[in-house]
Amino acid sequence: MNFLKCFTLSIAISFLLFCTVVNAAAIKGEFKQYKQFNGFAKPFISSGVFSLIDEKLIWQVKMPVESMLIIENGKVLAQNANGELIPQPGSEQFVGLLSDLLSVNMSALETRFDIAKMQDSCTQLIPKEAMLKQLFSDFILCETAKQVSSITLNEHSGNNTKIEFTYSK
Amino acid sequence: MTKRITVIVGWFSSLILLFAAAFWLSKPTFSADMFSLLPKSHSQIAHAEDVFFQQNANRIMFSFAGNNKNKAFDDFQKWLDDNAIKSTFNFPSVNDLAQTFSPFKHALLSDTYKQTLSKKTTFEHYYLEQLNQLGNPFVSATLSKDTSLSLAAFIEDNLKQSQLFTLEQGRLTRRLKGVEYRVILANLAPENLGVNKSIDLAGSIIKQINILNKTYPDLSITYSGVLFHTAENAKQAKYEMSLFGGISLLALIAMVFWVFRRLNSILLASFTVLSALIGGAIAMVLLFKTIHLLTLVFAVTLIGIAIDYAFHGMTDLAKKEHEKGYSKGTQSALLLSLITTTLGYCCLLGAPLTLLSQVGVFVIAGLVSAWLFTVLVLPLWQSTLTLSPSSLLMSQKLIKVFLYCNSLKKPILITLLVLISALFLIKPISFNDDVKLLNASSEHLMLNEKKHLLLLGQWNSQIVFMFADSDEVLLQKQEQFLKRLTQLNPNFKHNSISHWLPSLQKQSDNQALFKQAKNKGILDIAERITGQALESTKSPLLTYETLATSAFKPLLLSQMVVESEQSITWVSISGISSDQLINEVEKNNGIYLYNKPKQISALLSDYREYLLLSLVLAGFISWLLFSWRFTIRIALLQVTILSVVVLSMLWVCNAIQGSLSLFNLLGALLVIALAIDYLVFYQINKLEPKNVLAISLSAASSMWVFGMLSASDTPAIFSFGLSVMVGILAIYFLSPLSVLKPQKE
Repeated sequence: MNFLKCFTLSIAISFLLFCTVVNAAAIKGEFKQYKQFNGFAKPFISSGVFSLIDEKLIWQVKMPVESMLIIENGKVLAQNANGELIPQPGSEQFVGLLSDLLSVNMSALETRFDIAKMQDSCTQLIPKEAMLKQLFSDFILCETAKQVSSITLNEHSGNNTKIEFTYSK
Repeated sequence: MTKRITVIVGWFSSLILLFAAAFWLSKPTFSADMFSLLPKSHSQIAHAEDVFFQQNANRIMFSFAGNNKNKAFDDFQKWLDDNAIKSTFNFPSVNDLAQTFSPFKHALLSDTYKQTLSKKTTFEHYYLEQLNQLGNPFVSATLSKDTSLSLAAFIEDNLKQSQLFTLEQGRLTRRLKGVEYRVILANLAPENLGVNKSIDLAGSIIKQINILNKTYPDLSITYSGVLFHTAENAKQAKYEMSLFGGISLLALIAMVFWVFRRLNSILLASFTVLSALIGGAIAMVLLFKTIHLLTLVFAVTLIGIAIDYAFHGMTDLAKKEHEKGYSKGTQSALLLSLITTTLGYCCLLGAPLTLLSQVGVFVIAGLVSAWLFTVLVLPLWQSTLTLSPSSLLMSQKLIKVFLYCNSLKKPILITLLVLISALFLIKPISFNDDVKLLNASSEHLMLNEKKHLLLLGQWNSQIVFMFADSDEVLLQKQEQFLKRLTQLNPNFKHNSISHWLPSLQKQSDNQALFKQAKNKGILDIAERITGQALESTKSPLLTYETLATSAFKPLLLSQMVVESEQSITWVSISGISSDQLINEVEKNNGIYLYNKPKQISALLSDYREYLLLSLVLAGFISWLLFSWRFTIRIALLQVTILSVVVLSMLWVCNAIQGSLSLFNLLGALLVIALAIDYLVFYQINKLEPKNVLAISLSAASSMWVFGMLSASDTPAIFSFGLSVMVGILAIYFLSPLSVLKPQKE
């Protein structure tokens, strides 16, 4: 199941990478994640920073706990409790997906998602894969000025996670 | 003439009628599964094996690697669906698991979760980290049921330990050593595992795989399962049976025609063999419900022994020493011969391997039937039998050689004894009881099995069966055993039901630990963040009965079963050496290491020792029989020759094979049975042309039949054939040395 976590995180990161390619420059920024659990009054909020330099992506959660995830050379590494970066078993398969997203390979993405254009520069991605379908109903991806401004992951359980991005100049 | 034909027709009509009645009564089935031959070594282990692993015989597995694996996988999956072969890989969803285990949440704590309960800061870090994850399916599925996240940790940690496979775009996937495999696991209906159906089905599956290999380049498909072994073994057995039977029958016909020069002699010899085969078949069908194809391969040897009766009978009748029927000597020799051979094969009746007892029954009944035909029917054809002058001339020449050798018997025997002793000193014999001797499967299939066991994570693991009077005692026993193994190697891995179903004792301890952590305020963060109070009521404990009525039932029953008198489970263990594991297993009652090949090899070893003793006993019985029938001096000479024959045969086989097996000793037993025949006939009928001719024909026919078996691809049949071939050669040339003038007739 580790791969599922990597996969969902990869989705978010992939769009950032996509922006980088589009802009052809290294990018840095901050993110804020709102996790709304079904039945809970307030969302669980976490935040952190991300950077992409020379195809090395660092995703660092700062609040409320610190954690780090790195995607480099086709590998996904996560920081463990001792601060060591440990390869995530089962994550290799997402490298292919990342490159599909990076190259905006819609035909490849269509094999994994049903894609529907929405209003307000947003796109709906409905997963086809059984494992993803088991947890998520759909993803909503929104862009502002050719940059991904937010991604929302909707779960069948009613839980949803919204990640908002702000970019450093 | 009419009378003779009427008797033959009547004889065979009765036999066929008896066979049909026996077949109708018992309705036997034929099997080519090598494992069905194996004995049930330990009743408890055998029972557990039946309960948990019976289904494995129906399973087939396919793995696809290479660039085109997805296309090939999809095509093959469709082909399987079209052929009503259902793939099977079912694991309950995370939601099902959450539903099943949520009522018992605080009694089911994973080791990781328990570690976080030690300190408030540790738990808080863990808790926030879990919530922070983008898409944690375990948290999502369980948070509404358990805000402490103990249930999420329980399901996640257990799945991590139990699941080797992932699902990618609906395809079961396994990564091993950097290679990605798509995998199909399927179960066949038992009716597909019959001899003919397994050959057909395996053939069509392999054909389909070959088509895929041609269609898609850069593709590697591996297949495994009992089906393919059964098909391969069945094809091999059928091929060998028809080839060996066919060639030996043709050779026999040619020899008989050369000696008797009459078509009816060929018919009579064939009828004797046919009587033997039908007689043997009647007894086998009556006594055994399942007949193994390998039995029929061994049973080909009956042709060689049964035809001896026809040769002795026909040469004696053709000589026409008596106007009607056999000479007294031949009559007595035929009976003595039947008795000794039957006694030899009786040793097989108590064999723990079904194959051997089937061969024993088949040969004994066949010989009785052949003997009856020889004694009752053959004499009616006496007037039509003559011996060809050329065969008589040849026997005269042989007699000269034998007489010359006979005059030098003392130096020949002493030299041979010295030579054999020296050879045994230079290269002593050794034994090999490996169960692989029974296996005729190709190396390719064995490699496929190994690859798939690696993919299933079972190649380097060892299996342990555990038994106890109740489920709770069993679960506690399992936990204590695994705890001891953890002390030996903290990183050892195991797949056991204890992950999912802890003992009631352990569940109570977990509840106490959780309550303690709650009272210390370690879990406060959960209440703070979710705004919901943690449940304080004591949750019920999870029992076997509860789990057996949930969505988890199929997985539970595949690993643990509770019966009226006992509870059984099995654990697969890796990362512990065999010696360490054996040592731990031996310290416990009701825990057994399951190693079928090793257990069978040990049994083969026991049976070999039993056969070795039988050989000595057979030699002693022969000596007593000879002493009673002839004189002690003649008996001593005959037993010396018998010993020289057996010892030289064993040494030669050992030199060729590198070691001896149970099947060489079985061959030795048969050689003794045939050798006694020759010694009896030589002692009673002396070096007379008709006798030498009959024994030469008998030896040549046996050589043909057994020589054929030494061309078999199955190591066991090869060893048997080689032993008998070498033994017959030795006894043919040495038995004439036994001829002495008896002091009493």
